[in-house]
Amino acid sequence: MSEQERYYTVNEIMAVAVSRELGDDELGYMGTATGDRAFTLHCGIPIVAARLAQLSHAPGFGLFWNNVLDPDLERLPATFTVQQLVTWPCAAQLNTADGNDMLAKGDFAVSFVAAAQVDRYGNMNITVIGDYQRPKVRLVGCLAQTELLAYPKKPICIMDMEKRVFVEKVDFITAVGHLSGGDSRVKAGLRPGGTWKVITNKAVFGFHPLTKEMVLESIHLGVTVQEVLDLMSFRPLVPDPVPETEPPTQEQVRLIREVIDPNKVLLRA
Amino acid sequence: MSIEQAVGMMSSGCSLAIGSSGGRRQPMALIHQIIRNRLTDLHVVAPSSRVSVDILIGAGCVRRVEFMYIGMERYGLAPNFRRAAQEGRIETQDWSESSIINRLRAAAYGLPFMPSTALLGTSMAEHLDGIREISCPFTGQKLHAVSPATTGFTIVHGYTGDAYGNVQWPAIRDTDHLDREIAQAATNLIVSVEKIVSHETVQRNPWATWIPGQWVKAIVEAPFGAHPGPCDGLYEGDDDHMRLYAESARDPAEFEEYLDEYVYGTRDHWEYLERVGGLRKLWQLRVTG
Repeated sequence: MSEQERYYTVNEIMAVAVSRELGDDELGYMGTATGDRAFTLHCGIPIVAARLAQLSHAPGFGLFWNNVLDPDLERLPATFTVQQLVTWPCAAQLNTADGNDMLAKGDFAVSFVAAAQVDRYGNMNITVIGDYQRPKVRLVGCLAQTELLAYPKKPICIMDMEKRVFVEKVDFITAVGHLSGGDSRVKAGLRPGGTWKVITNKAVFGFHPLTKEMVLESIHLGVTVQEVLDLMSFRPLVPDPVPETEPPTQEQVRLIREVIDPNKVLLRA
Repeated sequence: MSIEQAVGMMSSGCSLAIGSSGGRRQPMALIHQIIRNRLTDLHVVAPSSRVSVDILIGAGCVRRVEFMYIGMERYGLAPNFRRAAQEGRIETQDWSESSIINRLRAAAYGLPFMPSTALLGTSMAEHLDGIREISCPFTGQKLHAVSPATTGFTIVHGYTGDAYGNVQWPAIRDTDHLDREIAQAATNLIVSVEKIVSHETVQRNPWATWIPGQWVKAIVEAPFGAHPGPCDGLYEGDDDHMRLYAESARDPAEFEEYLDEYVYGTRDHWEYLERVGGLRKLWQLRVTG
């Protein structure tokens, strides 16, 4: 297929790539985000992916978002105000401590994350840029980012590619991916797991099974390997040749546009 | 008890836990009074805050803050917090969500520590004072012990409560919060509520009492007491005022003017409510859906 013949958007290929990672009867923990692009990346794409999974290979996949456990994705709120969120049909409304307990206990197979910095070993930083005591940029804190990488088996990072975001080593480890590679994560006392995939607007990354270094797994239609490498401050493992990311089917695109997100609330930006 | 009397119990240098989550139900009427009293060197424990901790930092009240989020969501990063941290004027203790919950639980359970696995391998583990590496006495597994989040005072904002301090929450609210855990961990708990109701009202629906009066040192009435933030189910955040706050807080001199106008320049909570637009403005914030 040529770029001219492409019938899907970048957000759609990202959502389908995320969807593929979701298993039947698994639970996924989703964070909140504000701002149009951040909302699409952190909430919109995971919701579309979850719904696509429910409609195909994973009918029992469930989401946890804010306080809402297993919401009815067929009946999405119009704009996600607090009032709409608290009246969204769902299985349960939990408090912050319940969500954290479920994470620690291992009830979530999947988490959806993003960060200000991610490094070669999938460690993430949302806390400070620069030195901790006298930071160049003081960011918001750790939130549950730490838990979202510590406990689920398959943390999925969804981000746009940027050189200052994909760094050799994060300035501050808010959340442990594969630490310094190899078995360093487990040696530090953490459960096996760590960052599972990094799904971006240009490419999909995984991690080498032994060294745990980031691997360029596939690039989206029309993107070159050089373009991807130019958006990173380190060189990931690069197979030769690099496969193309599996595109959405025509039916998946139809489902997204007509059934899942007809008002373009989820994939709005 | 009045807001002034309740806050009058606190003094500079004390430790203070602050409720709210996701910017909802921040105890702003109490916070404003703390600023009017010009308390300094506070040691703040606030798991998740928007304006409440930022304004305390901007007013020079805070020496040290323990938290897992300080930000203003769609209004951006918290400007006073960011500036003070970057200039090294406050001590920061960054906790993850479950580890700060475990600290609240240690305090609530009357235990000297709680075990936690969340911080293993992180940079927080290198900077935090309140953790020690331990091994599980049963399995030998590597763990952290986290210290109890015990504070001299604790402030939270609730919906309704009676004169005995029985605080009730409605069933329909955003339950993503830690206010009950924060209240359970408290030594001297001060609760502001939107409305003081009769004890008979509480007795009719005791299942709605989330904070029993036995935990509460003082209860005060503060309608629109979370302004400019929201009190979910009752009123939305004041978008105009939040923009004004975010704008003013970007510059220290302008922020002084903000404080002069809205906090130092208002005698009490009632004058504050008048200054931010009075009943005409506040009525527009009510949740009608």
